[in-house]
Amino acid sequence: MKLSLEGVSKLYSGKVWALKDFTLEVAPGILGLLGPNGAGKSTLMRILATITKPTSGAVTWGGVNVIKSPNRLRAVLGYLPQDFGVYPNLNAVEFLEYLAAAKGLDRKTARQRIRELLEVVNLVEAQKRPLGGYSGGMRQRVGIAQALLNDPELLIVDEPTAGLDPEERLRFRNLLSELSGARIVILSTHIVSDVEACATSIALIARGQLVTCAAPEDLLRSVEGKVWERVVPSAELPALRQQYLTSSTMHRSDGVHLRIVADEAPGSGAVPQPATLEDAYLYWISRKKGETE
Amino acid sequence: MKALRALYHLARADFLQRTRSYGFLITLGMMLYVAYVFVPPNHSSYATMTINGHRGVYNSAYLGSLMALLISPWLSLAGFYLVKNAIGRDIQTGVGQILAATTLTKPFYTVGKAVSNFAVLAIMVAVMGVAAAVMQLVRQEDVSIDVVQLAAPLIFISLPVVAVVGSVAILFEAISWLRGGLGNVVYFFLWIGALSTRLGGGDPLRSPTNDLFGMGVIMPALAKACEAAFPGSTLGKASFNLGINIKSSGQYWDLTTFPWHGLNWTAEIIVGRLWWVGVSLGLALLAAVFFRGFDPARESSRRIRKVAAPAPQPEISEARLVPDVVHPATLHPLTKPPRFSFLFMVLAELRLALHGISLWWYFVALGIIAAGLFTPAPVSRGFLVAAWIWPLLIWSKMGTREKLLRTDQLIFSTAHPLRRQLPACWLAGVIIAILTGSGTGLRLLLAGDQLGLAAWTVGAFFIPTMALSLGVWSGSSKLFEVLYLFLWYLGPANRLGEIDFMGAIGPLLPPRTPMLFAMVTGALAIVALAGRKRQLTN
Repeated sequence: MKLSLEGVSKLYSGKVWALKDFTLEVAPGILGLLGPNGAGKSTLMRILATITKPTSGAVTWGGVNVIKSPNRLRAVLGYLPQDFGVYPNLNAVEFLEYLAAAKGLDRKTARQRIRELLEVVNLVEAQKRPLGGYSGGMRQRVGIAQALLNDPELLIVDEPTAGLDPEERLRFRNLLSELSGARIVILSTHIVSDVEACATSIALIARGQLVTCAAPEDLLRSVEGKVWERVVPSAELPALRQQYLTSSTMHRSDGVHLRIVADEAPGSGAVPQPATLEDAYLYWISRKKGETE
Repeated sequence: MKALRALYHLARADFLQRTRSYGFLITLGMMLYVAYVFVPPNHSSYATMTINGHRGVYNSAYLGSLMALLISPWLSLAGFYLVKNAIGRDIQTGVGQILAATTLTKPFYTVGKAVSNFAVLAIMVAVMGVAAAVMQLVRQEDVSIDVVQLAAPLIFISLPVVAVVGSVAILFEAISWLRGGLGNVVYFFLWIGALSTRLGGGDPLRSPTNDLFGMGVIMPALAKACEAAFPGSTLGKASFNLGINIKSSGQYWDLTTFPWHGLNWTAEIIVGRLWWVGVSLGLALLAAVFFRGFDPARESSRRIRKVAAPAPQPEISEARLVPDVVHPATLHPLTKPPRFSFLFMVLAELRLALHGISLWWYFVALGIIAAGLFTPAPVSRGFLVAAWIWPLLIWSKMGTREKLLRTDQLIFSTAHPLRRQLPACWLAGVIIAILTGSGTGLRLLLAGDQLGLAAWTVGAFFIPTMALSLGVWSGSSKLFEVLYLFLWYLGPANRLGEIDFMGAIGPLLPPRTPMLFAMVTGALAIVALAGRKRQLTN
C-alpha cells in the first residue's frame, strides 16, 4: 500500500495557510515528519487521519481518494492525535474495549489484543485504575495502545513521546521500529532524536510546505562539509550568533565552543565537524526561512 | 485600587471570552425575536400582559415595564444556564490553575466571575431595551420615546434580577455537586418554586425584600391606571395575565388600552431593588466559602472516589511502572481482520453511558419500574413521568462526550462513525428509556391500551433522539437538560396533552400528539446525523 499526497493545501479562517501545495509519496517504513512549532505538522496529520478536509489537493491510499472515501483508510488506520482526551471514569481496559468496538474488533480478539497492548505500553499494573487519575505520560501510553488496537496498516502518531519519561520513550521507539516493515508509520515530532532513532525517511516541513524528504543518510550527506566548530571568548558569542546559524554552544575553560552550520568556513580557526541530523534539520529549515523572508 | 483593577480585568477577560462567540450573537438575535413576540399588535391571537382584559398603550413607560416584567422570569431561567460555566471554563482550559498560582483571593475570584455573569446578562437586558424602543415605533400607538421611563424598569427591575442570577450561577459552580447536570435540575425546580411563591408571583403587595421580580413595584401602579381609565374594571382586585396567552383557534384578543405614563421611581423603590444587588454580592461571596480552588488532584480524587473504585490500593507511581531494564516490547499481528459488530458497539456505548452510576440509582430505577408494573394504569402513568426524568443526566451526555472529553479525534478516525458509533450511542439511549419505562410499558400492554402504548413507544424514542440531537449540535449537556426539563414539566408533569410526549395524561391524550412527536423524533434524528456529519467534515 502507498499513501500519496498531491498538492494538499489547508486554509484556516480564509486567511491562514496551514499547508500549502504539499506533495509527498509515502512507502512502507517509518517516515519522520520534522518541523518547528506551527509548521503545519498536526494539520497534515489530521488530514491524513481523515479528521480534517484539505482546502484543495488529493490524498490517496492504495489509489483510493480518501477525501471522498475516508472509510477505506479509517478501516486500516491507527491514529494517535497530539491532543486527545479520555473518558475519566473508565479504566484503561474499559476505554480500550470501547474503542476496539468502534474499530470493529470482536470481543474475544479485543480482549486478547488489549491484554497484549497493556503489556507493551507497560500499564498492566494500572489497568484497573480510572483514567482520570492517570498522569500525562500514562495517558499518552493509553493513546499509543488505542492506536495499535486494530493492527493498523497505516499508523499516524503525532508527537507520541510528549510526556513520556526517557525509558518509556526508548521503549516506544523500539516498538515503532518493530512495528514498521510492511506498514507505513508516520511519526510527527519536533524532537530530532526521536526521528533519528527509528525513521527510515525524513520529511522536513516548515511554514506549511515540504522543505525536503530524504533518507536520514542523504540528509546527513546534504550538510557534509557545512558543519564547523569555533572556540571564541564569551564576549564574541552574541555577534557570532547573529551572523551564523548556531546549532549548539558549550562553555569550556578555553572559551565557548560553538557549533555552526554554514556553507563556508565561519572565520579563521573554524574546524570542520561530522554532521548530525540536528545540523541538517537546522540547515534546511533556516534555508526555507530565508527563501520565504 | 489594585484589587479593584484585578477584579475589573478578571471580569473583563471572562466577559470578552464569552461575548466573542457566534453563540452569543445567536442568543442576542433570539432576544430581538423574543422582544418582537412580546409586543403583539392589537387583534392578535395572543396577548402578553392583560389587566382585567385591558392593556396599556404601547408607550415608552408601558413597553419598558412590559419588557422588564416578561424578561426577568425568563432570564432568570435561561440566563442561569447561559452563564453557568464561568468557573467550569477555567477548570477545563487550565486557566484556573494559572489564576490559582497568583495572589487573587477566592472572594475576589467569585465576585469577579459574578460581575462577568452580570455583564453578559445585562447586555441582553440592554438589547431588550433597544428592541422595546424599536417596537414602540413599529406599533405606532405612541411614537414619542421617553428614554428614562423606557429604561428605568429595565434598570431597576431586570438588572437586580440578573445580578442575583449571575451570583447564583457562581454559587452553583462553586459547590462541586451542583456544578454539573444535577445542579441544572436543582435550579430548574428552585426556579419553578420561586415563580410559584411569594418570591416570584402571587401577591403584588409584598415587601421589596420578598419581591425578586419586581411585580409588587409595577403591578399596583398599572392596576391603578387601569382602574382610572375604566372605573370599576378591577373592582379593587386586578387580575393580571403575564406570559404568552393564546386564544383558541380562530379567536383574537381585542384589548382596550389605557394610558400609563410610568412609575415615580422613589428612593424607597430604588433602595428596595438595591437590596437584591446586595443579596447578589452576598451570594457571590458565599460562593467563595464553598469554592475549593483549582487543584486537579482534588478534582480527580473526588472523581475516582465517585467511580465504583476497587478496594483501596497503594498509589502506583510512574516510576514503579517502568521496569528496571528496558526491553523491546513485542506485539503479535491480529490473526483475523477486524469485523464490526454492532451489538458489541451498542453494549460498549451502554456501558459508557451507565459507567460510574451508583448502586442507589439502579435501586430507585428498579423501584419505579416495579411501581409502574404493579399499580393500576392511571397511577402507573404517573410513575412513567418519574421513570423518564430519572435518567436525565445519562441521556444529556449523549452526543456531547466526544467533543467535551476530546475523544473526537480517536472516534471520528474509526471507520464509518456515522453509521456505527452514532446509531449505537442512540440505541443505547433508547434501551435506557425502554428499560426505565418498562414497568408502565408492560402495564399498558397488559391493559391493551393501544394509544398509551403508542405514546410510550414514541416517548422512548423521542427522548434519546432529542438528547443526541441537542448534544451533537450544542456540544453541551445543558441545552437538553433545560429544554427537556421544561418540556417534561409542562407536558407530562402538568398533564398538558398537546405536549405530553409520553402519554402520561392517559385516555385524554389527543391522538395527534404521539403522531406529532413521532415526526419530531424523525426530524431530530436527521438533525443529529447532520450535526455529526458536520463534525466529521470539520
